[in-house]
Amino acid sequence: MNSQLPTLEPGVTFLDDGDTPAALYRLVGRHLADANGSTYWLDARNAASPDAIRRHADGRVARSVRVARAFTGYQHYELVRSLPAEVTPRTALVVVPNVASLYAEDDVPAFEAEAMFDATLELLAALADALAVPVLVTARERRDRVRDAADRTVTAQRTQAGLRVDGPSFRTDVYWHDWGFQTTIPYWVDLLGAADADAEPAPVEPAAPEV
Amino acid sequence: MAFKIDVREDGVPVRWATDGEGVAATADPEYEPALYAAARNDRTRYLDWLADAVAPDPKVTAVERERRFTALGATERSPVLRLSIDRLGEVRQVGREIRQREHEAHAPGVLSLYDVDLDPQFRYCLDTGRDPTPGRDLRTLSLSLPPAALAADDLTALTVDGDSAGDDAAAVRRGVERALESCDPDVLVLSSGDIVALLADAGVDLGRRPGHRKLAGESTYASYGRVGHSPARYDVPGRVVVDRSNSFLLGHSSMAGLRYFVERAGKPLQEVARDSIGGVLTALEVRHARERDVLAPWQKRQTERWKSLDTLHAADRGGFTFQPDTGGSAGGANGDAGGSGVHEAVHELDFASLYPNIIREYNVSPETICCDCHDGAAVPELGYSVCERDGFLGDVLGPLLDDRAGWKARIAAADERASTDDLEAKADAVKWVLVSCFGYQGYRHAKFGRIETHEAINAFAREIMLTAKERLEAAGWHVVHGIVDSLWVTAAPDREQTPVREVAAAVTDEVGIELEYEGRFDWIAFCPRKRASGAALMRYFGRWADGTAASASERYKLRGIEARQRSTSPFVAAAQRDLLDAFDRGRAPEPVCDRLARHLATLRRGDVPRDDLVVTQRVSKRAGEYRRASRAKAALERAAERGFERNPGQSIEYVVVDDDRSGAERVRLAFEDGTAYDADCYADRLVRACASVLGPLGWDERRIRQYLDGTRDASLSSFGDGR
Ligand SMILES: [Zn+2]
Repeated sequence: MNSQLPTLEPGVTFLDDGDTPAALYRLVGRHLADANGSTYWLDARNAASPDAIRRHADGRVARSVRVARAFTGYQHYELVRSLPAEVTPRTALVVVPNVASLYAEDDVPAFEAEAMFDATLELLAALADALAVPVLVTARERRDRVRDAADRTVTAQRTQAGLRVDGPSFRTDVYWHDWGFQTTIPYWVDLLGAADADAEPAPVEPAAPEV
Repeated sequence: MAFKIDVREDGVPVRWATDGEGVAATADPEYEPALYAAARNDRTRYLDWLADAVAPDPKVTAVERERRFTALGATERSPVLRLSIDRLGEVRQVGREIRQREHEAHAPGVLSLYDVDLDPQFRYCLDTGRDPTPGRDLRTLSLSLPPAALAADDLTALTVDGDSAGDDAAAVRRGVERALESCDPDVLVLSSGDIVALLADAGVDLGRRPGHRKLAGESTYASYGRVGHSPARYDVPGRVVVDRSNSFLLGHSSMAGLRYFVERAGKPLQEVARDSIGGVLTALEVRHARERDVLAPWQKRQTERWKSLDTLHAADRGGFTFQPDTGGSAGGANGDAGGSGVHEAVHELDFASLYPNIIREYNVSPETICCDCHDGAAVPELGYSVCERDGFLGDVLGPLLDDRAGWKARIAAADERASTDDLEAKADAVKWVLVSCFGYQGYRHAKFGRIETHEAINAFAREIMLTAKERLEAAGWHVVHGIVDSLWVTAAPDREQTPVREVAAAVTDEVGIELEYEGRFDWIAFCPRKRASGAALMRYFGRWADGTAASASERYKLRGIEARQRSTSPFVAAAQRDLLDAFDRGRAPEPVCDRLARHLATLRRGDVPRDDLVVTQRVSKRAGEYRRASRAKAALERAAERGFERNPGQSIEYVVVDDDRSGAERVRLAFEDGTAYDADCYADRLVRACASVLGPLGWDERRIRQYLDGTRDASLSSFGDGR
């Protein structure tokens, strides 16, 4: 839609979303609005709330999203390994939120968790590389490791003016408010067009706890 | 038949079997346990590598190539390596070492290991085909020590089968030894496993041979999002140790319930007694999987299938709830009271054991859901296929469902003089397993669990409930409330009704699961949902119509309100039941508040015995981990000061004596002497309990206090110096 927007390029993008979990849904919705092909959302810690995703993605886009949830490090690793069988060059996006979380749990021995986590980062990079698809990851734990492994980092911050997203490939002052976009920033309406106003949601609720 | 398996220091199992009235011990030095390894995509070169890698390991005595099923849904056996292990009890260690070696040589997950984390005693019975069911009634001796005495290492408070063991250390020793000699127990039921160590220090061996072993130290763990505490575990030769403080099944059933699962799961009594419900279920599954020649995975690697958001959304919906917007009477006052209110002449209908029956009748099982060999969208809303092959989970639960139904029928048919205690205890024990099997399917560490199974059960349940609702409405009934597996109906005005039992029978035929007629209520009251809780916590109470009550002794049915909660003090619980009587007399709020005022006056006069004010609370943290001053924190601090340590997951019993203070002076522990209590604190709880009763009429705490303030002006005397 607009090159100024944080659309995601092929390669691994680390979204450093600090205390703003809603940034993930916004980035995904923004990226998919313009994309064709399906999206694979490899979930951890119940980030994949259908309501939250739909609030930021219209019906067509939302229908393209496939989700599989991992509840242990072993499952996460197996799902990462299964991605090459699912993802094609026509895939719009691969989303891997909380990429390190399940490896930090004490139900996996540390050495094994470490090896699986390393392999996960390697596999995601290789997948992005080989098929030239964008891969978006977030992390609460081991952010430095994830940042190093990523091709680029995008940061999202909560500011007084709303949500601020910074990245290498787009302007640094793109703001969203929790309740909608910041209309006082003049170029905003030009940037997004008025249609997006309806798509902007209420603050995203945290998802329900896992089973 | 061996009722107890000891594992000697050298790893040799010793079977203790009943022999007439006595016992006989047999060592089995030939026995070797085994674990199995399979390779990703059945690549046998990884198995070759493993065979070489473990060759020098003295713990591994033999390596054989076999073919086994490595998953419930597998259609072909996979090549596996069977590693025989020298010592029972070293299997897990070997498993960990293989993981370490694999880590050094290969990518993670190249090998999958099986039959690693089984209880050694259970494994022995499984491997050797020995039935751990005792050949005669076991003799039981019960040893108890109050918590405070245990904390102080004071054995003089010890009781043996209820009688004091002795007044000083020497007398206690003689008393216990005499009891052991005269009873020669097969089972020791202890109030705490630590009694084994305490008595050993005092020179008493509780076993049939000298010595004892501490199997595991105490630990705190998290499970299902809850903090639990598991106390130290002990083992003595030749006798089963049952720690009453650490036996869910004994606490919720009885020895008869434990014995049932010993037989069904093939797991010895001591190990079953220690099991959580999930542990019992796993044992039943592991045993049944063996019959299908399926190995038990160590780490579950099965993943969720890729799903659309629509499927995910549909799958994540909880159980059925139907809460009409328009309640009776004054419900809905605060706009958040959907479905609350009082209804007259209500029939309750329940699907018996809905979830386990769905598993069996609809063939829902990890290997049948989303199978590749059958098309179709058998599961409503989700469109998953269901295989026609005989489902594993239904085979595991079927005998439990049938046994329980048989006991229930015998209990109902029993004449009054016959004791049905054992039948009821067994029915209770099985009930816990049946109610847990659905949640367990969604539990991430469940060996044979699968999230799609969990989702499918839920989807079938919703459809079944909707069908029942539609049929009842078509037959002239108005559904006033429905949740999970229960429906409440009244006659729809201006309509002819098909008799409700007739409708229930038709629904039963249609869905294949019995819709039982539970009974008729003269009235039933549904409380407003609590605003904060996400899960629809169901709170209601009703009075059974004469002659219809499920059990004649209970006049009311209560769910979710204070009088039913373990944490409620006896005084508040009794007062709430009294308020229910007042409610029953006119279903008007004022007379209930007048009763409340009398209980408040009793409280304020200081007339309530301290024992009636004891609050039992499960603690979730250590004292230092509470961020805010709370009563639980105060109780923990007080307990610590008195050398009586309580850990997260354990319960603590206390009386609030001064709620304005923080720290140990705020409370007294239940076993401390004294008569003082904080009347204001308990008055708050009373008012809250009253608000639960009046919630269906639209009265909340504030409204109750307003009313009390009004009447206090009129008659100060009944209220003392209260606020
Ligand atoms: Zn099939």
